[in-house]
Amino acid sequence: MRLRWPIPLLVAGHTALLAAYTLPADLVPLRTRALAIAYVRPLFHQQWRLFAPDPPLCSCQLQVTDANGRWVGLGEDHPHYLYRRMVRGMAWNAQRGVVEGHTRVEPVIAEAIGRLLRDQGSSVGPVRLVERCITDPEQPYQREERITPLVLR
Amino acid sequence: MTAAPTTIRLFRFALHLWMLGFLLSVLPVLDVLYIEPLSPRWVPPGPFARITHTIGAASMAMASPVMVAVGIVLALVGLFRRSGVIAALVLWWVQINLMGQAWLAGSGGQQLMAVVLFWNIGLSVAEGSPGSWRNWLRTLSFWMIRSQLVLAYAVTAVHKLTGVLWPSGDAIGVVLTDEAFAPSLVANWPVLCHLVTWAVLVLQCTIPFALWWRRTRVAWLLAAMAFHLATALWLDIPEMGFAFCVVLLIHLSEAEGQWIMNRLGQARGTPSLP
Repeated sequence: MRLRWPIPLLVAGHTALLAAYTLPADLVPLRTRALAIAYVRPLFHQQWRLFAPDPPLCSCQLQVTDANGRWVGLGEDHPHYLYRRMVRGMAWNAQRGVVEGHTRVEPVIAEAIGRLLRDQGSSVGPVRLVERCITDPEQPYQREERITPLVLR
Repeated sequence: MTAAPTTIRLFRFALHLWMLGFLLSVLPVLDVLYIEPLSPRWVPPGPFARITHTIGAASMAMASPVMVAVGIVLALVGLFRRSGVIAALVLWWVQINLMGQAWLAGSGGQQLMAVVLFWNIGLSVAEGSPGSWRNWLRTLSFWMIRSQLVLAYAVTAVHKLTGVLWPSGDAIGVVLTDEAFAPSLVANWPVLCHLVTWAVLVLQCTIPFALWWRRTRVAWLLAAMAFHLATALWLDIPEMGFAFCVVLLIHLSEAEGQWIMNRLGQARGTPSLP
């Protein structure tokens, strides 16, 4: 039995749905997007937006107070790349909320930060978000510091 | 549409090597990834969660070291022997479940590999006679992986073209002055930053086309590998850089795959890889 014929069709259909799922939302019709989400998300979830459409203009860091009351970065100096990535992920998520005007961190990220605090041996004290933001992209070294206290609970 | 058997063997060797390297790299942080995870449990809705998030939060603490060990063994075996459908299925299941648990530590590279490991199940079917369902499945999986890679580049290029800082040439300077990344020294040379930004954009816009032509394929593959190795070194996404280097191999022609296999075989003192 020759089964070759549908391969180009299957590959094209699958790739079209992946494209509808991953392309910028305003380029894809709503119904196509919904179909693509239903098909892609369960087993083929992916997104290709690292530093796109633009890299973030603000670097961000979570800080807590140490035993001497000084503000220190939380977990960002960990030697392992996956640990640092988790810490960065928490900071970016908190920052997204701050940009939208919320200082109360969304519950799932607040829980993650709580776990990070426990792992770092920090007491659940005040946590703040420190952003260093570029004001002129042609002068990326010049960054303005913004500090936002975060509410975890 | 046909599949290139030698290219598939080379690709699967590299895939198992990536899996081995990644799983060994998670060992020092096994506790914060899976045992007492920093990522709170999050299970997506729908029936497929039974496959992608099979093990509950409480059992994950005990199951994850076993899963990682099984993954390491299967990846190691896959380097030296042709592994079958069951091994490929288990390897995919291990990767997708570990990734689902440690979602805060995820990356595009891990997502790419989860998808590729899914299609690797089809590639792991033994070759059959021409026109058989075995060859049909291998060919389908082969082309799905090829199109997946092309799609990743095309989509990221579209996203970047819709931004402001990539077309203006400022993006790399912005990224490299973020304390999280290195080498920030490069940002001292704005002209270099502009050139690198545009070079990355040109590479990502053209590679979906260049990979299909013999005359351009090898040059673009090498340029893309250099780019991904640089991101692995300097952007703190090592597994993503290496994942793309692995998947790029699927675009080699049969002759190009054979050329590399012969060199590797000579280096190993054996005629060919599994």
